[in-house]
Amino acid sequence: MFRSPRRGAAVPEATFLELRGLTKHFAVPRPLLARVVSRAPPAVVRAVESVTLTLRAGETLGVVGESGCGKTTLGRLLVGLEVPSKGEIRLRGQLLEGGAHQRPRALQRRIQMVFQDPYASLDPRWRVRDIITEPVVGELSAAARRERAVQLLRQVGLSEADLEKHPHQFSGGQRQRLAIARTLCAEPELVVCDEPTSALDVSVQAQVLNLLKETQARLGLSLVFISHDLAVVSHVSTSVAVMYLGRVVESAPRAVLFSAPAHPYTRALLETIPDVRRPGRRRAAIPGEVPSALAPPPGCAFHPRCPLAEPRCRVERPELRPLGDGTLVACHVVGERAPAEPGHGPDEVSET
Amino acid sequence: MGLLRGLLEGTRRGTRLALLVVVAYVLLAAGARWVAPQPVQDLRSLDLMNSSIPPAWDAEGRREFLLGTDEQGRDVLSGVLFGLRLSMGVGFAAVALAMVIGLAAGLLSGYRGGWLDAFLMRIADAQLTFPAILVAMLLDGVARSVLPRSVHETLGIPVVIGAIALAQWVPFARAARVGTLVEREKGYVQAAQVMARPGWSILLGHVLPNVLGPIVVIATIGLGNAILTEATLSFLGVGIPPTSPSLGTLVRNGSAYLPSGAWWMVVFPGLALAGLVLAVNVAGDGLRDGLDPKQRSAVS
Repeated sequence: MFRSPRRGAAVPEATFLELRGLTKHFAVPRPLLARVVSRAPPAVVRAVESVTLTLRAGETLGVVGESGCGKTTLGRLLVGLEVPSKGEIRLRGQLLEGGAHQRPRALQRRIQMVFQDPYASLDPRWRVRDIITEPVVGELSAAARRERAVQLLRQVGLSEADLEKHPHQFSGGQRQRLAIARTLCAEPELVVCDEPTSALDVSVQAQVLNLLKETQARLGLSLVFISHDLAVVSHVSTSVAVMYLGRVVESAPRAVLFSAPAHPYTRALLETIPDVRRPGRRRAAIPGEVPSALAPPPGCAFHPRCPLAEPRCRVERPELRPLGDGTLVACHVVGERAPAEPGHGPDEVSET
Repeated sequence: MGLLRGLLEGTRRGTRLALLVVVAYVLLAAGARWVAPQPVQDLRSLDLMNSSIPPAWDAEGRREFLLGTDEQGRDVLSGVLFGLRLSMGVGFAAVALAMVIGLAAGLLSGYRGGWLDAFLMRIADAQLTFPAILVAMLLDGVARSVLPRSVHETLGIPVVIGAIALAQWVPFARAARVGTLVEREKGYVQAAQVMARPGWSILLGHVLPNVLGPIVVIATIGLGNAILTEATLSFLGVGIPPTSPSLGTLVRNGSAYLPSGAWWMVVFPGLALAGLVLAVNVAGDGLRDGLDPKQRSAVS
């Protein structure tokens, strides 16, 4: 389950964050009459299916995929807003069970989240000083909270003058700074960012991303960065996981993924990134649409849209396999094409 | 604050006038003891010699009884003022109670969801099938048969308040539930959940203040309704003991003398009631329009 320790450490330290076979199914509620009349089991959305990932301390895991691929649900599972149907989440080896309220408080506190919509993530009726110190309500005196608030505001590039303001007095980017300040107040180790910049103007996106990176470097935070935007992910991530219909189809170190994408889906996604250095390049959209998570196609879920699909892909689901350069890929076809890695160890994915 | 701003900026002149009238009513009712010419609560102040005097502008009227007197020599103006106090008191109390019940049920229902939500909302549905008057009469009837007479006299007003509240909590619960369903998905509520803040603290700190807007509007509109229901109950002789007459009781008592030509005993309490309910309703409608987010976009 461990990535091969490169630094030759004798004792394999516990992985910082480890997801093992993480699965979330949502039952689709049916009308009462239908439930009474038909005995058929309710339809199930497989939002997240057997996701196995690891993250080292201080690094950033980028999670990309089209909308509906389960990346947001994955983030919500991490922070405890959803309870896994199966599988486990371990933080420094400690099992995180159930939702946020069932987890040990001290452990849960190390995980915080930055939300997508900065207009909905700050209570419009609260003042800034109360918003950003909400994690320590009841732990610090009013004076200490105020002091903490001033400190936090400076850390995210805002000023003491903003203490008494309400959220509506701030721009989207500033609000996202406030949301980051709030997560920092809890002194987290892991921050899950769910599309933190996609509601912002492009000019502001970079500022918020840089703030996240600086903060990460200064405090040694680990980030899980969820986005549909590959350019953004490439800017912040150390490693990247590509999700399609609830499953991870490829995970690799950032440089490898962007220079030598293995999975046809990843390649297609990269094709869609605009590049100023290559004007006039044909940016092919991926044909077809994401199939319904209610009825994923058999075999490889990507086969209906895949240019390389073979008969086998329609029947047999590919498991994640290592390609040797740190890449794990779930594809029958590229596995055969890639040069065989000399003598790689036992299967890195023991169960899926 | 937002409420106040919505009221003052986004409202029509009619709304402001209605608000002014409501405020005047509140002041008159609250100050009945000092404003009323005769302390009608005190039976010793009544003189049967003064019974059934027409209003002051009538040829037989007397100046000290501006709106005339009733059959027991009670000054009608004073009776109306004290009746107003009781009617408004019962109305406010009933709406406040309905609001508390409805908020509690709605917040819980929306936030917890699942079977609790289904259970509470089905109760609300069932509640809606009973008109307020029926609920009140039922409650009053039960109270009458269960409680001894002396207790019932003192409990008369609380029973009426409870009955009206019971008949009115459903709109509050529904509005609070819908608002909570929306709030529950907001980032700040989820952030608080990630912080593992206790559920009650999220509900009171984040959800309640943000669902309160429509609740206040429902309360204003419900107030007129509550006052009317109380008047109807009193007119039917259910609930409020006749020893402390509300506007409805005054109309009921006076209506017996209408055939004999003593119109003032009915008309003045009736006018006071109609004016009050009209003003409250117009103010409520204005408040609702003023708080309509579509009209308020410039304000927020």
